[in-house]
Amino acid sequence: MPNSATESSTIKDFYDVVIVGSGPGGATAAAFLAKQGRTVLVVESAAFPRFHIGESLTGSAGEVIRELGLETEMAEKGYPEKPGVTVIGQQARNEFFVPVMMETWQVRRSTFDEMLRDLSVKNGVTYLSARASGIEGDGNVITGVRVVPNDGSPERIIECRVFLDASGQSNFLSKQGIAAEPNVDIFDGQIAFFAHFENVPRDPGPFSNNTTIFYSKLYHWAWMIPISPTVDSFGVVLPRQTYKQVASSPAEALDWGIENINPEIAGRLRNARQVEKVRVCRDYSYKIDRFVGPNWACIGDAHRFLDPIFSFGVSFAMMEARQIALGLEECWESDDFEPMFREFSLWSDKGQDIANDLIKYFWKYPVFFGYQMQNASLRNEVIQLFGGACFNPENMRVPALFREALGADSTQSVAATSTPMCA
Amino acid sequence: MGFDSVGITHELTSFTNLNLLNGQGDDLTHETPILELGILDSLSMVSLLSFIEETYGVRISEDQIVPQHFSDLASITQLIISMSDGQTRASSLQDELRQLVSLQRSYGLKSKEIDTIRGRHHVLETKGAEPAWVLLPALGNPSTSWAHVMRTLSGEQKTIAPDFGGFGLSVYADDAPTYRDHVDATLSLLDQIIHAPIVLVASSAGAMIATEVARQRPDKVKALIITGFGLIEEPTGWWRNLQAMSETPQKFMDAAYYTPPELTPALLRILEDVLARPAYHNFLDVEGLAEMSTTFDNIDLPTLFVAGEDDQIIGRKAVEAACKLIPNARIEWIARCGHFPPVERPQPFLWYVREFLNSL
Repeated sequence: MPNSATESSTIKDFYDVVIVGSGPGGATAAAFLAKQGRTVLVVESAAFPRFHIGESLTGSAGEVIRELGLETEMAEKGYPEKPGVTVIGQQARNEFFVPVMMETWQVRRSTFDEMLRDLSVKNGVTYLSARASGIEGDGNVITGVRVVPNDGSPERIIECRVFLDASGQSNFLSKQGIAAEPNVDIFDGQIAFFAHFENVPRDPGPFSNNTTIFYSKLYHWAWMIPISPTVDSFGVVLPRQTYKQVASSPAEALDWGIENINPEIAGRLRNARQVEKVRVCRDYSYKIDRFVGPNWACIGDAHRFLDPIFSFGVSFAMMEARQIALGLEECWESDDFEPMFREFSLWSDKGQDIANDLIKYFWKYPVFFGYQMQNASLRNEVIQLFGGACFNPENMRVPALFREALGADSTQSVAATSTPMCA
Repeated sequence: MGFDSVGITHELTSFTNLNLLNGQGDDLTHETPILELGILDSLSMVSLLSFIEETYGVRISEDQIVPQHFSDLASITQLIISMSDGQTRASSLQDELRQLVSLQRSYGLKSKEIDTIRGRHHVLETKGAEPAWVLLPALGNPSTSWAHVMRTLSGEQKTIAPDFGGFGLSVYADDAPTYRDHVDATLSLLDQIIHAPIVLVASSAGAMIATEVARQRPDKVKALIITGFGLIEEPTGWWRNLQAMSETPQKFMDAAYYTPPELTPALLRILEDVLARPAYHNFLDVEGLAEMSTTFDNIDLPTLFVAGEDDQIIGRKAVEAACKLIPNARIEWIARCGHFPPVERPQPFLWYVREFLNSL
């Protein structure tokens, strides 16, 4: 097993690519780039392994994992193979099933993120345990990053040709004034409360590995995700207003959700044993409009997060990381990265806008979404969009139909009022 | 019969006020944004659709159930008028079935009639890849009971779903065929239309015919999928029990489904008719009953059982006992599902069938 962070004294002064953040986005980009023969430094402030939410992957994340050559290790680690998602409707009166289009998994993020990091180290990536404290450059081109190593050695500057912000909800480049300010998106104002449980009964057979979404009403829902053969992640999402009315602590909110979101939940958690503390995530829905520059880009949560309901988060971060790594391969000789980053920005916006409309349509027209997922000819397209086709929707009817049905809501975005944070 | 939009809007308004708003909606008009106001939710949607079906004889096909058509009562009126084109109010059960069948055409399903030794067979078909799946319905169910599954498969997988004689739109010379008659007729039908090996997929007592076909034409059947059936060791007691459970259509639905669909007048008429048919009561004649306990003998084909965990008609033990009789057979259980997985949970059902066939 490769060792984690390198001694800060052995870190060089220059790398082809410096990446801040070693979650799935940062580690995936690093692994691909190192494989291409680039020198890559990843700066990570947290000590791994560490808890993170975002445990369900779509088929497109599965594809990236296979391209990274991790399929065998995924099986060895015991991550559940995910056939799809079961959505249980209001009062559990109906349900529908969405299969994944490509094989994928549910993961425990502490060990999954560690595995990705170890892979990139094996590919030649250097890790520095440090906090990124500033950016060097003219405010447009980034020439280097300032870091404060966690081993107590003094702040120093590391130079680079390309800089990637994979800092997640910390939005590093935005806070540095390089990328734009985040705009709060329509799904803002919701709070997620979650923990891990053992001894939760599951559906029989392979469907025991499904994600289950429990729907209640607008912006009130819960998830259950089996992240190992014995542990399930369970979370409740409520609008801030509801939280204020029904609970005075996160633990109370979780209990309220167990009793009130959907009749299917209480029975499953009756004899469950909580094995992680209750955690909270709020203000997680935002979009940064300008997230690329001449030699830099933000990937994954560092520029955008929609809504957790369809598990797009990790998958989008990994897809974006791969997209950039593939794009950069063509640019090193010319030293001209700008057109590639600009193209990346359009590609990402287009795909995420379609995904955003999918989620908006689900919340605005749950009755119709339910019908369409059970019966109609739109079903197959929606399944493909869930699986990652948002980024290549050529010849599809659904994106236009949903945009039309949503009307003015299709592009809605309001000014930022709060800073995203995760506790 | 022509449709009058003012009249329809008026009737929809009073229906919505009385049934969805408990009479509290005196200010409701044809332009009230009923979707935005949340007046229409998934339950009231079911009542509204069955009201439309009952009152105007119009079935709204599922691909028309989109927000644009339900934003207010004026839009729903327009939808009813446009969907009524070519549809007439069903005056008999046969018409009702014909309407159901013609509704499937908009999803790419084809309806065909084929003459066999016993009479005229009606089948529904989809085009697609071979081997073809032959979908045998449960006793009393029409071929349209496979509609959910077939619509998903349309264009991808070749399927053929016949109506058994005495049910659906198939007509035999004898209106009270026995178990043996169904076997002979099905063999005759398959000999006529099938020229390459098939996958036999059978629901409930349709499995009795499937296993006999498999025994008689072992070279023509690649695999067997059984859903909602098992080994009935005491057929007489089981049949008595089922008759008690079918005393009323509502009782039957409660036993057969985890979440019984709303018993609309149209559904009620179809159920009452089936339960009264001579073919229904004749199927399990002396021979039929005797065959139940040997249904799964001498089968040596790749076989998958897909069973609802909450099936009150065929219990867990019966499925497990049947599975034991067939070498290497497998069972997949579906949660929150009753006797008819292809109807109640068509997508998980299909997922399991595909996984199984891919593994062969």
